[in-house]
Amino acid sequence: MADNGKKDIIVCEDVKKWFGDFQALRGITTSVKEQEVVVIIGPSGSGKSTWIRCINRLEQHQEGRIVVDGIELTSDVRNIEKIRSEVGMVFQQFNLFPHLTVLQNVTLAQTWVRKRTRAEAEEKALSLLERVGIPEQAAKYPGQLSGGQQQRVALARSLAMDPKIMLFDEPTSALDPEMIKEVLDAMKELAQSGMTMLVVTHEMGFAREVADRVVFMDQGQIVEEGTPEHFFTDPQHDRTKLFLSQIL
Amino acid sequence: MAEARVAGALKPPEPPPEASQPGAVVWLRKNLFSSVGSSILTVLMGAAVVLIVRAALGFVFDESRLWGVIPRNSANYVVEAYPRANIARAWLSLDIVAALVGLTLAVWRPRGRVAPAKLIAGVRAMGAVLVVVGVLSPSTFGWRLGTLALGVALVVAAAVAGRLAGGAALDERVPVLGLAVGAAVALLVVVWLLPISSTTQVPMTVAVVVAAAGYAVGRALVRAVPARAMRSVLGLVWLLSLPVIYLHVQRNPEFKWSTITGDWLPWIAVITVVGLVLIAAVSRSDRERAGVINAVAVIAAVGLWFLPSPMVARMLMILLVMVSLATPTFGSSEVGRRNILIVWAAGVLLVTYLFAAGAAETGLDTRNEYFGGLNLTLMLAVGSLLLSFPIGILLALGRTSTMPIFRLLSTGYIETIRGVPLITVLFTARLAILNFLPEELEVDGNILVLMGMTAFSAAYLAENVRGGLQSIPKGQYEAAKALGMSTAQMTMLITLPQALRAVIPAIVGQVISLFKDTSLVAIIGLADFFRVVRDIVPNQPTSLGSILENLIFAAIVYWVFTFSFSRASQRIERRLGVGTR
Repeated sequence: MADNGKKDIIVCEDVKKWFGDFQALRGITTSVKEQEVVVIIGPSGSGKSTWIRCINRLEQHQEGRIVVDGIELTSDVRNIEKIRSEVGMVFQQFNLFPHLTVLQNVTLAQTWVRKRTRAEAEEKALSLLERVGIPEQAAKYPGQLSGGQQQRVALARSLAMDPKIMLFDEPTSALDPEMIKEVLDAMKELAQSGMTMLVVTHEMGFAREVADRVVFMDQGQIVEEGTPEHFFTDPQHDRTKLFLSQIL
Repeated sequence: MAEARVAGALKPPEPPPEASQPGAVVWLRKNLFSSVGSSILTVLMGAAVVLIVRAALGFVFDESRLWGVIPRNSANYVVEAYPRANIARAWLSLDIVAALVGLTLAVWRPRGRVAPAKLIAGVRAMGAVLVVVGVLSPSTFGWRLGTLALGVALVVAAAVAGRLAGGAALDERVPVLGLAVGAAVALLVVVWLLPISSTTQVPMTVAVVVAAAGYAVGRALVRAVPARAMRSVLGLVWLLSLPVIYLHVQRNPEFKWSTITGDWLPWIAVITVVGLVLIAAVSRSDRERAGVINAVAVIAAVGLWFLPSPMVARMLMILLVMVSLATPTFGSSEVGRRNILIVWAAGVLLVTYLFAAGAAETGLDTRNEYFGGLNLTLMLAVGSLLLSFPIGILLALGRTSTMPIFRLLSTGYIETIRGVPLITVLFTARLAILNFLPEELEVDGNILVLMGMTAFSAAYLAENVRGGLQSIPKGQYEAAKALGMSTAQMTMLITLPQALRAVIPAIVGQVISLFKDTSLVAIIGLADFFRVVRDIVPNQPTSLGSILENLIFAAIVYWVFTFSFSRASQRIERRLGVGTR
């Protein structure tokens, strides 16, 4: 995490969140710099997904501050929609719109939210589908695609909005082993192009190879964070050591 | 330890094993006589079927049946008391529909195809039914022999056609358009060969010609105009055809030009201009200022009801508020702003026209309530269906909304209407609604009943749509929000289309019961198809005592309509299923 003069694009200060009586986030304090790739790992139920879903306010934090690209997340609708159009998200279950073709999936929000003309939106969509490697599927419906192809369409759909930040919520967890690689390759390419990325994943190979920083969470808090090298070869906290010994 | 095994080159796929066709005896043994018990049941059921069919045929072919009354009263069934001097207007509405059907066939080019094998199977089945009728019907010997011979001829013809065409040709397909042409030709043949009066023959032929012309025009337009534009315009024209047919073509309104140009025009002009300025301002404002402007517009619209202003001005203000509220969502881009201004201008023209036509006295010979027969039944069914769609969808959205006032109002409305029998709603509509409407609105009984049916149908539709909305996975909402869509955009573009598609079977069920329920208006004195059948035709001097024949005829007519709805919905479901699986 070498400080090379880039500014913080996400700042979280003591972020807390409860589901009923259960405290899902017990005070997250960290920041993410522009163009940084942060991989978040941890056991299930540790609050990884809840945290990144708070960053585009699919979940609402109850205490603490979250500032994204200089805008603080409050219940003000204008801020939320502004931030959401700057922050892309890829979900575990793809969440493509099944009643629209692949091309329409990628152009819809461009025309309605970004107010682009249909021709501009389609040009952008086709170039993005090319970039994620599936230009020939544009006229098909999501249901006719494999899981890996669907997830790459979902990636293209988010990128079409020209986001400054991309959030990935376990993007490969619902995929067959043979399809994981094609999605990870697309994500790697994106990371190399300089996108700011927050990735919740169980793919340790991806973390080791692509991440600038690895964040390990348990029980709603950050236990340890550092470069992949530090994290995988020289973990300090006992909980981190235990976790790594069980998965590696 | 097991030895390692490695496959050589991977095998190519093989065709599936051929399924052997079971012989007739094997089939009978397996399906009808598999055990002693089932053999007994088969024999008993067979006997029962034979007896029932024989009794039914005996009823139909009894010499005292007055089937002749049905062709004799065809005009009564279709339009009832519509003044015969103006009957050309009724035919003109058929021509409008025919032209639209032709245009639609040309633009949509139905992709469905039918295999000749299916047609041949249909002919064979028809032949078999005739054979059964010939054998079982207790009518004269000559008649039975004729029926039997015709049935056998059809079966033989089907077999010969199948043999001649050969297996390969049967798999080829003929487009649905061919069937439409076949149906039109068959209609012409029936109309001109049977002893039908020329007052029907000529207009029927004209309608077929108009449909063909509509098709030709449509083909020419498709080459010149982009398909998407054609389809949306055509959809709009279909929607408009209903009010135009009933308010203008059939009702022949005599516009009071002095009222329109004198009392209305200043109001309309001012509201139109104010609307154009307001919408342009809202579309250029940020969300906060747009909210303030819209709040002022809502207050102005409410305020207008307390001022002495013509009804049309109040309606235009309501329309203005609706368009203006939709502007931040759909009209903030350059194209969106242009479109929404066009929508506003077109909306003003439409509301003004509908209002002027509705308020005008009819220029027909008879006053009021001259709609009747199938004409009225179709108007009630199609009209209440179309009107209840937007209302039902709004109610469903209200009931699933997070805003407590909308939720409470929608839930209250739905539960009240669903707790009341339709006939009560219809009586209330006929007798009570007038008390709640401003005096200057002149509404005839048919429109009141239409409002009642709409109110009833909307409540049921709302519950169907709500079911669809609740079946949408949470991930769809999250994906839409994560892309920065507003709640209105998410609803219009993502959740509502999926919800409506999911509930097509339920909605078709509702359409079918709505169509049949229109017969209840006979009880409150409207001369719909069912009342014509039950009261009017059997009391004609030439048709006395034909109530049973009429009821059976009505059952067949209702069945034909509802069965076609149900088949059409199956087609739509199959078409739309492409994306979901």
